[in-house]
Amino acid sequence: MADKSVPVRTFLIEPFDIMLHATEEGVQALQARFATWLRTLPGPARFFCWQTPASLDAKIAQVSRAARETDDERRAALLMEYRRHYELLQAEADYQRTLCGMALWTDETPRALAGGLISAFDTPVVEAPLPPLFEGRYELRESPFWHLAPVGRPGGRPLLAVLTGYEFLPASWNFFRPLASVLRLNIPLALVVDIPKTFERNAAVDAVENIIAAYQVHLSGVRGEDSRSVTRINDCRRTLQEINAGDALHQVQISIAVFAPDPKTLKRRVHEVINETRPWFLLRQEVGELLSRSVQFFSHTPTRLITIPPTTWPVTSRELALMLAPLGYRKLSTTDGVLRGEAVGAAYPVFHNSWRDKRATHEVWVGTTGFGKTFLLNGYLSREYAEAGIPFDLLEPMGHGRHIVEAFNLPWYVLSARHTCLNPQDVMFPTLIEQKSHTIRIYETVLGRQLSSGQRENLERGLLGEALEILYAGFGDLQAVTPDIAPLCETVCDVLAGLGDKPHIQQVARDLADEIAGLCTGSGPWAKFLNGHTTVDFGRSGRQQIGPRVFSFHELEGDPVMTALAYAQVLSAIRRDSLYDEQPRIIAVDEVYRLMRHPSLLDFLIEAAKTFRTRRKKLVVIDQQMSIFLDGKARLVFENCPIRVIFSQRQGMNVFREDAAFQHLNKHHLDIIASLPRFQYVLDIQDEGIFWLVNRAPLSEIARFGTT
Amino acid sequence: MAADIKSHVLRRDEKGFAGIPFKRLLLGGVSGGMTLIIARFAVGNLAFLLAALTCILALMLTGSRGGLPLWQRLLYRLRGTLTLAAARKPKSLSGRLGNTLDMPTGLVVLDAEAVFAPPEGEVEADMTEWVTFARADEADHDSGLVFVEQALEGVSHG
Ligand SMILES: Nc1ncnc2c1ncn2[C@@H]1O[C@H](COP(=O)(O)OP(=O)(O)O)[C@@H](O)[C@H]1O
Ligand SMILES: [Mg+2]
Repeated sequence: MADKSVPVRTFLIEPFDIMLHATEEGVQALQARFATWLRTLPGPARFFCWQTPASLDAKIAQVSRAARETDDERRAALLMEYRRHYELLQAEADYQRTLCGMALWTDETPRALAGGLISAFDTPVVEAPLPPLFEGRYELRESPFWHLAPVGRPGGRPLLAVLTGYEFLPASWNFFRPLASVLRLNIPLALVVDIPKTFERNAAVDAVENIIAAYQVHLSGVRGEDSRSVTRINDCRRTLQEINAGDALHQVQISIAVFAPDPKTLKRRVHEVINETRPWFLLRQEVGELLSRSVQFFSHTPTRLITIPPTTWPVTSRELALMLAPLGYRKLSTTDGVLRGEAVGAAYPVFHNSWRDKRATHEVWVGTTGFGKTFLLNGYLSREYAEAGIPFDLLEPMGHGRHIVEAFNLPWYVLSARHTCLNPQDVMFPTLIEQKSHTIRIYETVLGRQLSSGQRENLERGLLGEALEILYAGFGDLQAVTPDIAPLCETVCDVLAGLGDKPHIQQVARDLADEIAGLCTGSGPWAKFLNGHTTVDFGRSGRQQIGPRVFSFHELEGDPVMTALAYAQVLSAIRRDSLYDEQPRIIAVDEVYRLMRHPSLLDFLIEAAKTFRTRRKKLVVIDQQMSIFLDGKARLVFENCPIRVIFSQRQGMNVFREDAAFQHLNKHHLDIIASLPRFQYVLDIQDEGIFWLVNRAPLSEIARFGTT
Repeated sequence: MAADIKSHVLRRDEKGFAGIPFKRLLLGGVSGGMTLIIARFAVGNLAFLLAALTCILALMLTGSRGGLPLWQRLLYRLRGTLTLAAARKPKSLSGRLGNTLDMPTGLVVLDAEAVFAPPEGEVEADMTEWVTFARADEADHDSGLVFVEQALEGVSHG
């Protein structure tokens, strides 16, 4: 029992989703992990779970407010559609919010304790005061039955009754029954598992052996059968076995506080709870003095100071582990942010706000074609835009950007092989050095080889850079080089061909100029696309705010180099523009591998990801396989993405098993990822949690984006 | 993935008859006998009936309700009633009785601020858990001042 001098440390534990462990082995592993932690409990402990009614009211109000305040008709219309969706969700469900906590009486440092909890429960844990069971003052009432009622104006404060567990029945417990089913009654309540004592190993063995000895003496004296005593001895033996296998023996007692708005409902709920648990453990409704005292179980008052006749029960660590089952019942949490999906199984909506930090948080999305990435992306972009007013740039190669263009009446930039020209010499960077290396990257992609890592290549890079420098120098100020006057590819080739002071260098320069000219000028394959002034207006044209834009590359006739260059030039224009302010913005790049597979453009993407991050721009990179984000340099992009959306990964599961980046996923997470059906995905937010979600899309989104 | 909760392995079932432990039977018998002896003088043979009733009553009151003997539960309930009376109607008979018996009237009204006060005061700031920075940017390269448990070895104290 806690000594006076032993301080209490209280922690809040983020519930996780048991559905992420819902296989036989999954829950077994979970039980084992919890049990291992319990075995070494340093002193008295108390586990808490509070379940309070929750609603989407705040979300609905926020959406309605945004609809009233915007002067953009389409946005208002979309907001009203989202409002209807939330109202629909609210009408079909009875949401509860859960919060779990742990109080530990020990001298260990809170940091060490929190660390232990985090690794045992694999979920965020913070040292924090526990929330109170009720607010303000409550008084004891005798009629119509014993309960506690708020003093003064209730102001929404409910009545409450306390139930204390006094006997455990010989029944099988698991993570789903009985405690989770109590939570699933969807009654506002608080549940406490008090662990006033964990026996020292030898003391436990001695105590249990004494009981066995006593029964044996008794049995030797009776004639005939005494099956009760035989069962008791067996139970004691099993307990000893479990202790020998490493378990500890704990004293536990369960208390449940039930809330209701009026006495009649309270009475009904109390009976519902008592009946639900009856096959597993018995609860008594506290009366009189005991009711007032039992409230202290929901605080951090040490058990020895709560003067209630003890009705604890001895259980082993593996049994006690199952009493922490409420940790696995994440319910509706915050409604801050936008809807990211609906939890599979538990059917509560999951909201997330990734703009709380000063920095934007990049995302990587992966999944097999046809499983719903693009559809989810459209929905996500419209939710962020409609609800939070955050504009986006969408880059996609298939042409389905049209749907979102139509939904919001946006400018649609369709880059075409026949009509579009993107001049590699357009100024995208503030300094000459950066600008030169960017243009060289474009040429490297065209040439299909990198100008580095060999003597000749280095020479070529130097010469090409010199040619560009000469051309830009002619303008004085780099920023004065607007797209309509930027040098053309043919000019670059002309200047390049005349460089070099020694014959063999002149030869190299001429060869390179010929090579580039053959590809980018005259009748070269990319002449039309590159050798001319840029025909797309990426500029702000004096606007303070740039609204959402969609760039589609489906008319580039499947030419991989053209597509890659289009990605690169559009992204660099967006990047240039993003330096202008710190307004949040989302830059979504669908099928990003088309860009990344060109080494020079990958370098560019890595740099852009960093720049975006510092300017509160969120980059969302999407493709089929996670492996492409882990190979070589691409990993730098991945490591800048703390949010991961993972659709079915039937092929390419090995990276999840082998790569250190996914060590936080257990075997069951992996099984889930390997067998995700269409429209389902795992949302993995670093340091916040893992969610298994389904995109149960609002009808409005299906109507708009249903044919991607 | 499951566990079968066992019977109470630290408590022996008490021996008894027809499910009632001998201790309770004994108490019932003794109280019945006492009633018989005393009541015999007053009510004659009716005392046998009274004795039987007393015996049953004693068995019931010692029976378990919600993990506690019934008499104990009734006592807590009565204490609750007296406490309420002492706090609400101190002039009434039960109120005066409650006051005389020193009922814990502090339990009538529970103040969340007192019952659920965060465990401060007990918690001393442990300086070794903190890192002190003179300037904000030091936090970026982890070069803050750290309190240590003991003097660093090799540091001169002169
Ligand atoms: N949540 C959803 N509800 C209904 N239909 C969906 C949903 N998600 C995707 N679809 C449909 O499935 C098809 C494939 O989805 P898509 O987003 O294009 O997959 P991906 O981009 O992963 O290849 C599309 O026709 C789309 O309309
Ligand atoms: Mg797609």
